[in-house]
Amino acid sequence: MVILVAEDDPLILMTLETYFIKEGHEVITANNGREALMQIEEKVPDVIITDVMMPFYSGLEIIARIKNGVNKKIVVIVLSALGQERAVKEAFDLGADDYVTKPFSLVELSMRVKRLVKIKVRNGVPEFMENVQTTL
Amino acid sequence: MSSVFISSNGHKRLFAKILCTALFCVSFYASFSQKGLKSNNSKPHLHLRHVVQGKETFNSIGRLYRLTGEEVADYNNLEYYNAAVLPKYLTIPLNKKNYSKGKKAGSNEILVPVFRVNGSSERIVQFKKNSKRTASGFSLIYNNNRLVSKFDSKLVIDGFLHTSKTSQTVFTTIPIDDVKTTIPTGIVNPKQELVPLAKVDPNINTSNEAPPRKIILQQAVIDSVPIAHTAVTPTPKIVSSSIKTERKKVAPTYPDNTAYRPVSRVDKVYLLVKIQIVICAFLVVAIFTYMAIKNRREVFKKRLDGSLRTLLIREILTEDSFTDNINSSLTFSEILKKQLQKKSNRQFVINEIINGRKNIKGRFGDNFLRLYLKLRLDQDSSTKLKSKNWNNVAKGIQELAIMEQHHKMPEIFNEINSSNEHVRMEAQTALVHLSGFGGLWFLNVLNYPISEWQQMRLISMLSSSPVSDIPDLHLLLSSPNESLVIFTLRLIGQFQQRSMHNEVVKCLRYKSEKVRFVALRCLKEIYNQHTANIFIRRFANETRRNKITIVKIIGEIGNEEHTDFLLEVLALYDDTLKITAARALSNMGNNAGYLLEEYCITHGDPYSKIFLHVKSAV
Repeated sequence: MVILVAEDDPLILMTLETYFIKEGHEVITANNGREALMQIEEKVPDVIITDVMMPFYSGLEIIARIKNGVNKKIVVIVLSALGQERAVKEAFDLGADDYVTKPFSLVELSMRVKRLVKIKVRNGVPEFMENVQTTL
Repeated sequence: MSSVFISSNGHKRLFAKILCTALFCVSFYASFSQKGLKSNNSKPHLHLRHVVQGKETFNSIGRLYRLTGEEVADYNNLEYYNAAVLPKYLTIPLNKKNYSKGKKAGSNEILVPVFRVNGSSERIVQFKKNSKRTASGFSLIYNNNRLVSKFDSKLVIDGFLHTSKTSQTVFTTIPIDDVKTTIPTGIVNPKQELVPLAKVDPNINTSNEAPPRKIILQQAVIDSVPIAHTAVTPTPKIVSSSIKTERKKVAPTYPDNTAYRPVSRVDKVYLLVKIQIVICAFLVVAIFTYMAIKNRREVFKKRLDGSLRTLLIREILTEDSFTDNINSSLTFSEILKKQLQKKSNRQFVINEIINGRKNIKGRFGDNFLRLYLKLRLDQDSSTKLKSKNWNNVAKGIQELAIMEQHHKMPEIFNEINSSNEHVRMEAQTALVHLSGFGGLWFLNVLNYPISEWQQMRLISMLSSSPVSDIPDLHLLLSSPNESLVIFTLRLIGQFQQRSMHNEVVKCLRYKSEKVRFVALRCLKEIYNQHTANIFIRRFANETRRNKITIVKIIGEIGNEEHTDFLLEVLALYDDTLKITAARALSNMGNNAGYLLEEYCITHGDPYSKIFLHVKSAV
């Protein structure tokens, strides 16, 4: 499974990257919204974990572009800080699948990713079905 | 790798060095340039002073001395113009074009000998036009004194002025036999005064057609290379013998040390341009060098930060990182391990750990805390508390609080009454962060007021603490610190400490209107069956702002017993109070609403309008 992590904090970005690589996923990283969109154009990920506030394009703009164009079936999880309830609501309106509030647990985030992918698999997304099944 | 780890202050020092070097070079160059000027001035060259007559132009004067009009104008720092020359005098340079040591004359040239006088202390020597020829030379008169006797023994030919043929009627050659023909060689003793002279033919007076021309020769010291500067600047080119000449771009420069021959404007501009170019070059080199070094260091710093971050994440995400000594897990990167000995790198690691602690919770989040302790970074944070810089102290407190160093609370407590507001606020926040409501015991010793922002921050932090931990606050309500009383009232109201009702009512007797206002709002949160009546009793003695607050609160907590009071308020003169009372009545239920409607209809304007206003708002 290919996971795109878009986060402007290098520590969180590297932590998520290292953690999901250890989990057996292919991880693409982007430290701002523009880079994230470029990465998506190059290779469509299965899951996107994105921060709300990022340089160039916010996480909300990324969600809007993905859901309007590239692939509506990409799983999108939003990383939000405390007090960003309005942004989270907007993210859900745009088509985000889930959100996690900082500080977040890596284990919990991983579980959410797996659960959402499972749901997508059930709904019949053929591209990464086999990978997901083996991973799960 | 050792070059990677350069201290962060190094580039500042380097920049200072470069700047000092640049300034030194610029000042050296400037002084050198000035010295050059002096040197040139101290080595003047031959020139003569021409007294402008009649309608002479630069061109006509230039032709006379085999120069162009532009050359003459430039040499005198004047703008060239093809009209009568305005200045009374012009300085004419004697250079290779119009002056030679030998007697060899070109075609259409006439030679005029130039003399020098050894031992003469006079600066200007004037040939009188009607002077008589003596046996040994010419009769020279200066200040009406005959100088012939001096010249007999000391007059020496220095060279020959080449004049144009057109001036033949004005100048004529001098019989060489009449004077000594000793040509000076070598460097002349500076004490010797040398006066170069252009000799004017005594027969000049016989020329009636040309205006009388007077030539006064300026004293000059001749050295062995009298016209050195002609090699630097291009020799002006005479296009034709006519007046029209090609304007040259760079004027010849002939330095001089007298008032008659200042450094030319072109020379000055040229020198200034050179100095500016040198300064600009130095600055550009210095800036580029500084930027290159800075960029290099930034790249190295980024690499180092990335390496340290990678190490940290490996440690955090490794399951058995903390089963053994942390140092053993760092052995895979000896370089990074060494870097932790540096203060700046340790601070970077602290910042990263705190960032991780803030953003990641759970098992891996706890690993940040463990790593913080294993690397003994808590000692770094504690050391900051002893710093004289308030910023460091505040940062140290913040780090200890986020990393939950409860045993450091006494040290943090010492900063509660710090003279710096930021340190105080961090200390208060840290204590509340570390022990929730228990941290509020700092209120008992606080000597400074708590800002509104800090009150909101503390209440926000306490909102997640269990209410059962709230300490007894009634002593704080009698504190002389007004902000402390207000904060306590807000705490009581926020966490609904109903047992404090009577204590809060006592606060309505405070002199401060703000304290009474906060107490009214606090009582609204913890009200009982007596609260509204207490408010009504206080109403008459309160300020307008608090009266409005009382009416509003009675509208929320009152019942039908208080409608009479609200109807009385409706009869008051204050329109705001009337509207507030009308709203309070409309909020108190149907019966109060009917009473309000009846009252408004009965009393007409403005009550009917108030009633419509209140109803439309509802």
